[in-house]
Amino acid sequence: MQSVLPAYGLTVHDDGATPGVTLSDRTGRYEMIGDATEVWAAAERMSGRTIDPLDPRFLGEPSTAEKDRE
Amino acid sequence: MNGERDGRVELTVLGGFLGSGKTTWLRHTLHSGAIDDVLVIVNEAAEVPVDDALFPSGGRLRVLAGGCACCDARDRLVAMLRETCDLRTRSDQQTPPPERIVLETSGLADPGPILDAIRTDPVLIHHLKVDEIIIAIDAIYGLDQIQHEPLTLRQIETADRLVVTKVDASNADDLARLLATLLQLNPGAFISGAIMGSEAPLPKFSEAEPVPVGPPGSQPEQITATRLDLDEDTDWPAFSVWLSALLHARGNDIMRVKGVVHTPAGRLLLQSVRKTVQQPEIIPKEGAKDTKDDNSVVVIGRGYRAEDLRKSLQHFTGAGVDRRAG
Repeated sequence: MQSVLPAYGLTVHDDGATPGVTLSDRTGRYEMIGDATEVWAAAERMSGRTIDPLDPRFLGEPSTAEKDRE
Repeated sequence: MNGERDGRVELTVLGGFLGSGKTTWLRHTLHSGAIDDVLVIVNEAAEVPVDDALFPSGGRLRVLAGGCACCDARDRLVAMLRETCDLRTRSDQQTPPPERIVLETSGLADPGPILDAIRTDPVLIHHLKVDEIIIAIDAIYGLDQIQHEPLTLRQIETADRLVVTKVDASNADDLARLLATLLQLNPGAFISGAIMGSEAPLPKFSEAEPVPVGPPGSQPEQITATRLDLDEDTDWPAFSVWLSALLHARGNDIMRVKGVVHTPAGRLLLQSVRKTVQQPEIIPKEGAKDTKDDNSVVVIGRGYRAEDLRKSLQHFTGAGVDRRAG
């Protein structure tokens, strides 16, 4: 997850003490998440985009967003 | 499975869309002793058979992999059925030939062409009797499949019996609408419910409205099966993250994921239906018929390229993907 979520401006943190993980964005918003399935749904809510493993950025190709910036 | 015996081998065709619970229902039915003296033929569209690992190794089982029994593997199915019927005409058998065959089709099979192949075969027509066509329908996804997968309609229309599976996982209103829709699509079929293969009561649905099922419009994109071979040292936590993200994003297009993988927790059967990943099941290696296809996962769906699945998995798990897969 640490290698995927930063691409969407998000970080995930497990403090090792409380169950689940904390998902946060660059503005400081955060959500407490119970399991992996919930992480993707929460990441979608916070980033406004679907976290898609078949996005070109995870295939070694320029992502749509990167192409737009070029 | 109720017909009177006339000397011919009786064939039950068990079909239903991907992930509809065919194997679970058949395992339970065989285990409960409801069918005996049976040869089970498991048909899988993918090259990697998985469902055969679920059946007890002592039973009679043959696998027809690498194509649907209704199209790519139809000739091989006919040859296999002929061979079985042939056994009955020979008297030198150590073990008596089976009285009954259960063909569990792949989830992508249309039972119609299978029946045509049997009925038009000059040998099988005299030696094989199609006793019953049973179609499993997923209580959770059945309504959606009826509306979006023309194949599901064809499967339902051919059925003598419709077994609605996972009835405990659907809400009562949706289940009633599904039952009303099934009755409208195939009024002649007997409809029953099941939970993990055991018969389960169905709610009254006389008040429920069937969902509209129009004529099939544009054909949806072809469903394909992609085999992903995994190394022994695959990073399983990373694989789990990848799979959960993939199913979350693409669960409407990925109908099925299944495979047997060797993890530190043991030899696990991994299965998902759409976005629902089933609790992994530990399968003992001892007594397994064949483990050569272990550590590979088959992804069945549409809307993506096979090579992209492999690249994505490699990105998530590092060097965990064996590139031999075709």
